[in-house]
Amino acid sequence: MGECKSGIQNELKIAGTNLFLVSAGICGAVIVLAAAGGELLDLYPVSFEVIFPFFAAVSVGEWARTRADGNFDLIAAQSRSLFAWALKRSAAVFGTVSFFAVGCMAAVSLIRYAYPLRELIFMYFPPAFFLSSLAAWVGLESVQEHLAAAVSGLVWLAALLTRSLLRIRGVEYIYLFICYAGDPNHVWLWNKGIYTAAGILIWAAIFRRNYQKKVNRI
Amino acid sequence: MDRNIEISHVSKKYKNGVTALDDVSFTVGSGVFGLLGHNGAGKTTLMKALVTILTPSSGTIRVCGRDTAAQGAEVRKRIGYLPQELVMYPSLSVFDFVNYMAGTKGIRDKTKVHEALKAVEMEEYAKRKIGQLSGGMKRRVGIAQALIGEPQILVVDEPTAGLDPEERVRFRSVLSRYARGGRTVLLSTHIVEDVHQLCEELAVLRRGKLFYAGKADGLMQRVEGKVKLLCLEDERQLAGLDRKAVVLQTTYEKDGIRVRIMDDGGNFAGAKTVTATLEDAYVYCMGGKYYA
Amino acid sequence: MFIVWEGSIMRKTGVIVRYELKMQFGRPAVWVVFGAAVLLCQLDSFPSAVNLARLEFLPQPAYFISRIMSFDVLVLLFGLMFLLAGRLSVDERTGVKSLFMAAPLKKSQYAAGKLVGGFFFTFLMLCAFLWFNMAVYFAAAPFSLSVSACVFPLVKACLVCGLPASLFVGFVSVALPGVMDVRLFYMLGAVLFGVNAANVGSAEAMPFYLITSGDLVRLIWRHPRWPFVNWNSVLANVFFLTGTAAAAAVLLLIKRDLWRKGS
Repeated sequence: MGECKSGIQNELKIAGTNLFLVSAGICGAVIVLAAAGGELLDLYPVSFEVIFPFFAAVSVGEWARTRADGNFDLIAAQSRSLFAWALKRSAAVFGTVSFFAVGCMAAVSLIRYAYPLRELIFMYFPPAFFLSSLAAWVGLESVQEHLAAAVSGLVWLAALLTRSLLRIRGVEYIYLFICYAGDPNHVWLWNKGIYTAAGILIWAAIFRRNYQKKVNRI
Repeated sequence: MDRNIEISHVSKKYKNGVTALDDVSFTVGSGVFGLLGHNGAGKTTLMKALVTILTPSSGTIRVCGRDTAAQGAEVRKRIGYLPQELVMYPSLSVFDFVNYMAGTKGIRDKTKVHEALKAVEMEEYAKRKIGQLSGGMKRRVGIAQALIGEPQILVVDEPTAGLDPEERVRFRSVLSRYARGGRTVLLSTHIVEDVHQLCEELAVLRRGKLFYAGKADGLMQRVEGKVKLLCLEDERQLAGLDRKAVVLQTTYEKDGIRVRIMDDGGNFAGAKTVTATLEDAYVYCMGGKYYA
Repeated sequence: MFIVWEGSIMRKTGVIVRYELKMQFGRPAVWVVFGAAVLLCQLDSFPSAVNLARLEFLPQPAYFISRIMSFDVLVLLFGLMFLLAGRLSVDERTGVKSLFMAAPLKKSQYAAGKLVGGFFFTFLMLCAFLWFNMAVYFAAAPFSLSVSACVFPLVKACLVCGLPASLFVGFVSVALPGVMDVRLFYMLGAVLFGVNAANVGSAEAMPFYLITSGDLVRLIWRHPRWPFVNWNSVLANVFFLTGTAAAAAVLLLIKRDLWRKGS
């Protein structure tokens, strides 16, 4: 446990202070928007289902670089498990962003209460987890910088642009921003479950792609 | 005699308080000039100041009679530079990369690019992508882009570090050939053999200060007749040796420990005197204790 | 002498532009982004029976172009934004920046080369996207179309909307990551593109901060029910795009540690 904790701490040191500064900045911007935005803005879904999940994906793609890390060859040659390393690095960054997201949810709820905190977390976590997992997977597949963030970003924007597809039956189960789109058929829990499962599947695929090295027992 | 580079009381202190250079002064004429020093001695800082990437905190540097601070643009027209860390764009071909650098120097004649590639024996790889080259080949491409335009001053920072012996010999040949005809090659390295093979003159930096500047022979004269070879039985004898002489090299063998020492005080009159090398002189400059 | 000197300055900038284009067009990721944008565009606007039934004005080439300009081009530009964001940092990382600084090259020439390279890259990709999709539309349309009816709105889209949008995305994507953390830049970009994506057309003047769906796009095609053009809004849109691009360029040029000291 201690080793895991120090591992996470090391990963956060590698990520640097900008992760915390930018996260805090986004938090602050959302809180200001809550205070000054007025009733017309559908604040909660926009902030916690659209903006924060994108930020989580960009953070994992940029601050939790794996193959694009200059020391990747070193780590790949010497680590006991590449999967564990990639998971630890992504979890450290995702966890940090999520910590700020939840803090922001609590602060915004104090200013303008609309949803219980539990519901806001359910709104945020599945799209954030899915997009971040996608970024982590692309980051492990490609040595190109910024590509992981680009792929997650494209999926994010495409989802925003294709809101009109909700007219097709069944799309509401897989539309990424269901709460933002109004959830006309009240299927958001199914939707969130599907995206959580998709994120887990991505990590299972990462694991299965032989990223785990077996340790030879001497 | 005209000196192509004049470094006068140059100091550089970084914002974090580190003094990289401290009142360094020497001049460089034509030919290959060696700049020796341990890691962190200030060689790269001095080179960067020379090629105008960095501004010294004090002092002046004149290149071909032009002040680097006041006439930087004129200086840059006369220098070619190969930095210590150069990865280059992996997606460009060899020809494209060198042509690109030529373009930034205002050179449009593509035959110059071919000539530079030919000089470093990379012409047959002109169409190959940089990302597909070996380390030695990449370094050759790096030198080719520095040679474009036939600059009066060629500044190369640790060009042979990590190269195999064949590449190093090739590099030396390129640099020595280039230095003919009044041009200057300033070679920064901590590989003494390269300096020994190429340079008549050299400077040695130690912790940011100039330790020596002048002929290579002059440096060797400091240690001539004083380098001795001792055979010791065990570590205890080695430990006692430090108090009496500067240890230049220690080699552990089956039947004992062979030690090269600098016997300044004549404490080992009976020991075998050996021919001093430039490496002995350099290690002595750095304070000794070079272990195998 | 002045002309020769001027030519030399432009030439060095031109060299950087040329190689920026070469490196960018050679990246597989660029064509993946292009392919994704084309796929989305075809899914939405291919002249199939379903789409023709859904989109009343799809048989009009001008409408087709204005529609893909308003929506699908955003996906292309968003993807290109990510790919352009590393153009300055790649020089630091590969060590090539020290070669540039040791060469007789000015900061303005270097910066101009990078910025103009980014702009031309974005513009050429945008034009290729528009022309490719129009070619598919022309070939697949189950109704007759004249070439001039397709080409004229296409050219208008490239020049009237494409130029300012490419200037904005090209300049801002290259310059701003050089003056701020690239992750913060991505978030600002995401907010802007997200707002663009969420905006739908209306009879009112469109917000000036829209990249490709502002009132500029009304110069390509106008809804029969709202045939008027709000020229103030058009100008505001143009000024936002070009002004932001200029401001980003200025921010980059005034950044002190971008280049060697004393230059």
